[in-house]
Amino acid sequence: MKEQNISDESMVEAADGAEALKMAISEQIDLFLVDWNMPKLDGLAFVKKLRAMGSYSETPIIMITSEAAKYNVIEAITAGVTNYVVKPIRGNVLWEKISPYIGNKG
Amino acid sequence: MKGRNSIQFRIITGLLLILILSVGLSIYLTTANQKSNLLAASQRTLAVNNEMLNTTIRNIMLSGEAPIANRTMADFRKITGFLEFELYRTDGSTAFNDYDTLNFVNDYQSMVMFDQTPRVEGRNIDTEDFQQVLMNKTPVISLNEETREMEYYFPILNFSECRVCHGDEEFIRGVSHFRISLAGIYAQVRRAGILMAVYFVSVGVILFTWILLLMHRTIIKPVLDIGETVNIAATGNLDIQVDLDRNDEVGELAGRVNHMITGLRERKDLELQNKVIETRLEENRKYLDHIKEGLLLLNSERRITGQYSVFLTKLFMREDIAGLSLADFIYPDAERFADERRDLDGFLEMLFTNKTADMDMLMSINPLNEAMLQLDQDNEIIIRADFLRIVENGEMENVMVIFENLTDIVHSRHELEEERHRRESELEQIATVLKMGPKVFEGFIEEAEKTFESLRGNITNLDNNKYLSEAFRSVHSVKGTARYLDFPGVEERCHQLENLFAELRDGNRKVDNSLEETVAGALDSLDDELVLIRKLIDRFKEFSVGSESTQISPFNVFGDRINDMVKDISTELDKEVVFKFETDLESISGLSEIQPSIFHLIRNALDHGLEDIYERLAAGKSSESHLVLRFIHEESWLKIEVEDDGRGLDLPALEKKGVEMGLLKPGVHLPSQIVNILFRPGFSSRDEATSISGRGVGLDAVKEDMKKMGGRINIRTSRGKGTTFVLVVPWKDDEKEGLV
Amino acid sequence: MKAQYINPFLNATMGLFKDFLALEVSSGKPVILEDPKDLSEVSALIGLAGETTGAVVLSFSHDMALKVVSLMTGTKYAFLGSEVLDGVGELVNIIAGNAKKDLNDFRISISLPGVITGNNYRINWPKGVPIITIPFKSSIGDFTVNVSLKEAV
Repeated sequence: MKEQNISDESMVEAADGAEALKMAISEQIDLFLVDWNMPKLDGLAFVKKLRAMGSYSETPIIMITSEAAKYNVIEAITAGVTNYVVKPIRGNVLWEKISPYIGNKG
Repeated sequence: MKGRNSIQFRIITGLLLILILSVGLSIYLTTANQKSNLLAASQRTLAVNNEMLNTTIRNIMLSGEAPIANRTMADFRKITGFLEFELYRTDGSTAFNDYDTLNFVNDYQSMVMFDQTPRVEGRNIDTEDFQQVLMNKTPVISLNEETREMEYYFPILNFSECRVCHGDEEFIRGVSHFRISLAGIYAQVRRAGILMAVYFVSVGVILFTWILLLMHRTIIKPVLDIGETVNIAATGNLDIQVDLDRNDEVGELAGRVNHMITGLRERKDLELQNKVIETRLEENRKYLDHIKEGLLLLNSERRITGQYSVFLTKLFMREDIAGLSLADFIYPDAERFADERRDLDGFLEMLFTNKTADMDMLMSINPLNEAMLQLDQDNEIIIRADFLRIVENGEMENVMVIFENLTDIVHSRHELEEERHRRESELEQIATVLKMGPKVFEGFIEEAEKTFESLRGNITNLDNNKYLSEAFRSVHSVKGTARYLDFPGVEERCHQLENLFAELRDGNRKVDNSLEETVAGALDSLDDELVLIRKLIDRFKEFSVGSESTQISPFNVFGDRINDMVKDISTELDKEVVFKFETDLESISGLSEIQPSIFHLIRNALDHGLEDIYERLAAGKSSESHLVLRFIHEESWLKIEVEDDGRGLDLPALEKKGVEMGLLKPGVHLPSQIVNILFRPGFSSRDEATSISGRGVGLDAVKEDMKKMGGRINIRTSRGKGTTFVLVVPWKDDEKEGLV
Repeated sequence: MKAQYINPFLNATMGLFKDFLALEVSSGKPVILEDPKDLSEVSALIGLAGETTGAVVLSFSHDMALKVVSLMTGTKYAFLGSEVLDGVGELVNIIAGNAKKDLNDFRISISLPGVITGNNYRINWPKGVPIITIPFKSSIGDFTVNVSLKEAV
């Protein structure tokens, strides 16, 4: 249910989509880990809002979801998601997916 | 550019000519003008002078002072320019050379007025001009250009005052003759002329030089420069330009030449580029012709470009695919594969336009990951397509699609799986055989062989409905036994045959060559299976010595086997079933005849009759279902009961179905009527064919079998509580093989 | 109430415990839940609608909830705070998501799981249908999966 943003060496958490959006506006976030199902503003809508903001049109957004049916993936791609991880999350899988984006951030 | 035609030459000669002409003309005209002016002026002056002289002389003469006159005249002669000055009498003689006139005058006056003074030397003149003057009595001026002298003849007229002394006989007394040198004047004129000449020539030269320079600078040099540049360009060096920055016509020409050179250079560069591209294309072509992979390139309009590998055309058995969309290429049958095409187009659209998603996220929905494609009637392939995006200058240019032919791999995989299954079932069969002994199997083989032989001989009869039903039943029976004995190969093939028969019965197929072939083929494979089973049994027989004696009775085997069957099926259906086999009997004869029906009823009960654990709990029943098989000997009858505590028959639903299927007339029906439709051929309470219950073969076959044996079938049912099927057959006393 | 609707949830539960939490878990025989109040302190509810309507509820005791969430996040939780409840919600979310795949053939939609806790909560079970409870045993404790489904007529 949570959303986690990784910014530089620190990680900030938001409890729901609306809070996350506020955070994204006030700070410069470099990488997003977004839950598909979130209260207030769900994952897909959040991603769409984020992409509509020019400053985040290219930031990596990783979606965390419990299902990976084809139509879900298509929805996610269209909304602008960069990659996805299926729950239950295995550490190495998550790392594989996000490591390209943390490369030079330490 | 030299020679007669050069502008330079022409301009120079032209200019020279003009200048020379104009200068010359100017000099000539000026000097001539000057000369005549000067001469005229001199003339006039001379004339005036002469008049004055004359007047002087005359006046002197008037006084009769000839010596004074002579002296004056002599003095005059000393003046510069006077070459000759003389007075002549009308006869041409010089005055004062004798005393003629004197004497005359003295005579005339009758007095001596004048003394005889000394006389001068006399001369005589007789020129034309002299005569002319005498004649015309007017002065004559003549100019001698050669000697540069002017001669002036002035008549001395006998004026009234002269007549006093000279008498009045003659009109003209004499002529005064002046000869003057004009050399001075001519010299002056010439000097002036020279000055003019010098002046004009120098002006001319300056003008000439200036014009020449101007011409040279404005026209000739630029023209030559342009020519030079064009020359260099002609040799192939197109990097030069004419260095001329002027706003006039030549500048414009230079500009145009520059433009042309630039154009040529750009064209040359383009040609070079084209050559490079061509070479690269050729290399590409070679590469594409030879690689052993299916490869194609999609352009930004999502169409296949001319860049695809020959291997691809061979793989897909299609040529000339350039310009097609990928969907058209992969799924040419647009109607049948509308969904697949739409998915593929959507996927491509995402590949081309989506900028955010990772490649492996996109690849997770690759629609061509192990896709089976039907190339034509006989050929199908299994391929995996890999997609690569090609980005140039930040723009999505192309997508490369690489095809892997997985047909063989997948088939091998399947074959391996099949192998494995076969091995497993072989092992299981061996185990079963070991457990039960070969007699059971031999019985099965006999039944199977009989059925298949009969079928083989009667394939053409399959269009007869009655025979078709029989064939259906016998194959169904073999199938059931095969399942019971765990021969999946036989079971599956029989199931296939059943499906075929069902299609025939439903009218979806006809008894044609293709059907006969299919049936024959299935029978062939069934024969092969039976051979294998026989081998298995023979092998077993080799190893088991004296196993006949330890054989379990068929009846017990039957019981065990039913137990196993129930266990298998209930696990498969995820239902908890407690099974009881109740009988007091030791053995049943004719068991093999009844077996199929019993199996069928049991399967039915398990499949349709019994509920899953949740249903049962929800209905307040125990979580396990109960299934009982009973053999009861009642007088001359053998009763076989299959009792379940499941759902029971849903009579209203059954009634509805019956009406729908046309098996019942609309209206109210008795329970027995409703239940009867279960035994109609083709009736199935489920639409899907499950391998357990079979399709549409069911209770009608059971009923037929019972009828054949002289028995019947009854049903007891209670909604929500359960159903019991009862088979009633005549009791057979002895063990007789091969009953009716 | 049919096995075909319920089994996906049971399988998903087993799958989650085995794969995600690396726990050995086994399910016992389904029985009727006599008293709905017998449900444990922490319950996560998945609503179903469509061909069949009702709820699937995972129920954990106070301790079990703490243990499970601690195992999942790697943090030791001592009391039932919002984080623990969120964790339970996560778990159930995963179960629901995985179960959904097997329910594709049926016209059923699943609601977002909700977590409730306390000693006195009430769940809106469908009327006229009993609640069946399936007990689960794991190496760190027990829990139940409770189902009650009504067929749409």
